[in-house]
Amino acid sequence: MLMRRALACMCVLVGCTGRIVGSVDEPVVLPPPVDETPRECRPVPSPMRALTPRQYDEIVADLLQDTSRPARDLEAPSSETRFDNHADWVSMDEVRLRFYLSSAEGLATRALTRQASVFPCAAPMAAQEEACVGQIFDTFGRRAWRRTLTADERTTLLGVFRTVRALSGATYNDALSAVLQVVLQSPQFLYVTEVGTPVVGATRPTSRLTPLETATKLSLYLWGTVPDVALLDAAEQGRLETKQDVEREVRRLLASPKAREGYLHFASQWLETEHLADVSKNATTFPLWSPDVSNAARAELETFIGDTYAGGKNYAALLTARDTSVNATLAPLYGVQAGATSLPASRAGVLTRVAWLAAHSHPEATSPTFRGKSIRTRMLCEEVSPPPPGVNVMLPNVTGPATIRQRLSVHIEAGSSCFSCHRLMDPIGFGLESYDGIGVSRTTDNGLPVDDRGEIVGGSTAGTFTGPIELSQRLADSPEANRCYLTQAYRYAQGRTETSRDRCHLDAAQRSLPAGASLQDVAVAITTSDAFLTRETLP
Amino acid sequence: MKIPRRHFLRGAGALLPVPLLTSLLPKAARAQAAAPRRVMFWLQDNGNLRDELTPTGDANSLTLPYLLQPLEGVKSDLTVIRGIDNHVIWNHNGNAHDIGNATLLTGIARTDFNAVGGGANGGGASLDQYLAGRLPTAPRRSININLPTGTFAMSYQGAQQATTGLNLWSAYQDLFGNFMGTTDPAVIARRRLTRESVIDAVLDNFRHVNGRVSAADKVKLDHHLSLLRDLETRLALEAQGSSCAPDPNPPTHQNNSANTEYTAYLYALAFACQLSHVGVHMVSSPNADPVFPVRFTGGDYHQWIHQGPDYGLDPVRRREDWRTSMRWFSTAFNTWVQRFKAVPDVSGGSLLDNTLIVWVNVFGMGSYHDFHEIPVVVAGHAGGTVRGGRLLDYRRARAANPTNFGPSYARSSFVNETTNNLWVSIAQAMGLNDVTAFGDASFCSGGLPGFVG
Repeated sequence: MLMRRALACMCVLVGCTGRIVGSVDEPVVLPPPVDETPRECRPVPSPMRALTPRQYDEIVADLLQDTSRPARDLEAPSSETRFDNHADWVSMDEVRLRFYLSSAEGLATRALTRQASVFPCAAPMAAQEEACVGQIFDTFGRRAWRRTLTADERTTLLGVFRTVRALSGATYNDALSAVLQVVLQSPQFLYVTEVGTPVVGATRPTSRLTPLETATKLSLYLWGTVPDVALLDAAEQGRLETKQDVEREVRRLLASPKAREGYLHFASQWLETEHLADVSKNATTFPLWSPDVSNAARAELETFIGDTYAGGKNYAALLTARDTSVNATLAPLYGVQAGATSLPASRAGVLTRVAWLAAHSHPEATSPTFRGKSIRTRMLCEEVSPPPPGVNVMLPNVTGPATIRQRLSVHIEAGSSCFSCHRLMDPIGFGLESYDGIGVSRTTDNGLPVDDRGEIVGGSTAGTFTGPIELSQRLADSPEANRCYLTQAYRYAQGRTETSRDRCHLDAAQRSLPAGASLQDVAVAITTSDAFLTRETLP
Repeated sequence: MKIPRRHFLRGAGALLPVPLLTSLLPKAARAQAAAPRRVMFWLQDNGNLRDELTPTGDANSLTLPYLLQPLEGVKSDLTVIRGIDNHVIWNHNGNAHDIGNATLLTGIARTDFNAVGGGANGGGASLDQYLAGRLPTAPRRSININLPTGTFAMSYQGAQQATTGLNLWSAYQDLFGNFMGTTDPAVIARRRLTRESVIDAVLDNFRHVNGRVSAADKVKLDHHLSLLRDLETRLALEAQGSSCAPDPNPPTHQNNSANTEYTAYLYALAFACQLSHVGVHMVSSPNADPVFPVRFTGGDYHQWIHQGPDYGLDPVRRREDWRTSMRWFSTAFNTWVQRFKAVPDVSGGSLLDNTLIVWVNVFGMGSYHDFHEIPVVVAGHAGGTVRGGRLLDYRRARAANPTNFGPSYARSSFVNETTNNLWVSIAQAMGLNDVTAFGDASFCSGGLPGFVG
């Protein structure tokens, strides 16, 4: 949300006493050295999750060839440590319930108009109707509920079919529509539960997710939709039992274009660029900005991220590579020719791209605080508390020409009570001051020379640097930043925030990754970990 | 009759002809002995120029200040309230927007606002949802348009159970979309019976879900189940013939962020048709560019607020921009009040006679996150229980001196009436005289003296 971006910028005079992780007084706890003796990790929780609005839309497009995206107006909240698929967001209310009801009616109606291509049978003769419906249970039903339906479930659905079929004036289509509506509103569709099977002989009560539960979890994580038939078959036919089985399927999923799209949905939340279209810029200050430019910038960033992921590249490439694909709309902002495939040496990876920079700025200026906060929280995985009560959150007034760096200096004067929080953010953001509020390169700010010396304070990536290239390289090489990337991907894969128990699993996953491991290797490490494939046994 | 679109969506001040709206109401609903009471929460965020919102002169014949003057024509329907503080937020160390939004309508503070990036923070049911559960059953519990979500959620069914809001277009589809396409009673009957079968089967399918989930997750599934059963009841009500004809020119999907008039119209129509008795709407969403036709820099309303009313190299101009922008809210509120006043209600009189439109802000002064002296204006009469045309001033002492620019969260700084007591008064005005406390009882002492009657 817009408000969250601006919040960190308000803190001038009164004490900043928030709980700080990673300040100089409380060093960040580092991951253990790689050669520590592995120990058995405790089993982790697995709360129930629900399909997100985006997953709902992807699935109905997948299963019913319906690309109308009925859930696009349902907001899906996310926050610093909770992606849109987080278990904490799962909550039903009347509005959502009615949405699922009317959406199912609409989806069913439209699906029936193309039932010949969507279902294995269509417009059957009277004597074949129930057999056809049975086939639909086996295809559409199986994929929607991510498993073969039980006999009881088939009985319930057939009961609906018969009841509606018998209504005065009802047709086969009316009755089938009712069946489809039930499938799309049932808890088997809307909720994702992982119960598993208890592991015999485990030190602590641990359950291994069933192959079908594993299939759903893999597919939602990597593709953002339900398992395809091949994955369901593998699960139901004993070919998703071992970690080798899982890795084989994961590699297959990663090779699909769906993996790229699924990854972009993770990345746009992780990097806080998903609401770029809502970001306004002052037309007088930034005449180059427009909705078309905004869309082009978002597309450029996503092409870069998608190519990096799908091309088997790694975190360092994400931070430092200059590959791009720039169209005529965006080219002026980078100062390159339309069609350029590489950015100039003043640019590097994601933190130097127009979309990221514009998303992390104000309408009329840059925001070193917001940029620094994003890097601190999203790329170093450290918390920064909001301004505590009693703090003056009004912006310091302008009295004459000054750079934003100068105006923010009150935040980090030693002795100011904003110091302990803002020194974690502002000095990082200063390093990006050679890009303006829409990401265009500059050498002056308000007529005064830009000073882009910066500093990361605290943690293992600590140190001074000058400019965005050095900052990007510093993060690319940082064990802390690499570990944070693993953590973010882990949160998204698990649909929850890590607990103290997860650290052992994250350590193990990290150890399993070779130096320079690709972003896809990280996904493999997560999906083959015990944390992904098992859970603490339910009481 | 084909109504030209411009008749519906003209600029400020132009309203639909009253007879036309009457013709959209269901015949059955028109002749009813007593109209139900409705309540509408009209939410503004980021504060107001609260020092310019107090009427002068006789408290019983309002002399409106500049910022409230757009309401001159309806001032006999207004109860202006000053001296309401949000006490429950005291001592809370967290994101002021999370705290303010989660506590305004719930009157309960959670103890862990420190959680960075947490889930929805509401500590219990908000007043709108509490009233939705206690007022007579209608096809909809409440009508929610443009509500904040996630950690900024304001409307709650219960602790951490936020309610969803739709945008204007989706809300129109939700309320009236089903009426498109057919008037054939046989088709309508078949559709209704089909829905019943579908919902029954969905309920049945909860049996088949592996029952072994954690206790916390079982609460969520049970909640879904109870909502389904509740939905069955309400759908049956809807089928009993409150077939309110929709506006033949619905809002478009793209341009719905600026339609103050249409939003007011939609709520008024839904209330008049008794599709619901409760509404919640956020006028200044932090999510989208506000709809102000006046100046503020850049498009980031939140940052503009934090710059304060005297910011920049031309503070005189800035202050005037603030006054003009804040006055716009009164213009918008007037549009709503006029609309409700123009709609005839089922027992004679106007919809406004039987409604309370509660205009309330998250903050008193947004620039420095201050929760003291939150401005409140109530329009309407709730079936005669609220007189109107008055100022109720509960200020006992001035808030923290604005020139200090630092909000106080000290318990001792909250000296005025509580938001909790305001909600008790609203509940009582809605006919719930057994309500003597709302939210955290330690902040309640009963309704606001003099509000009802």
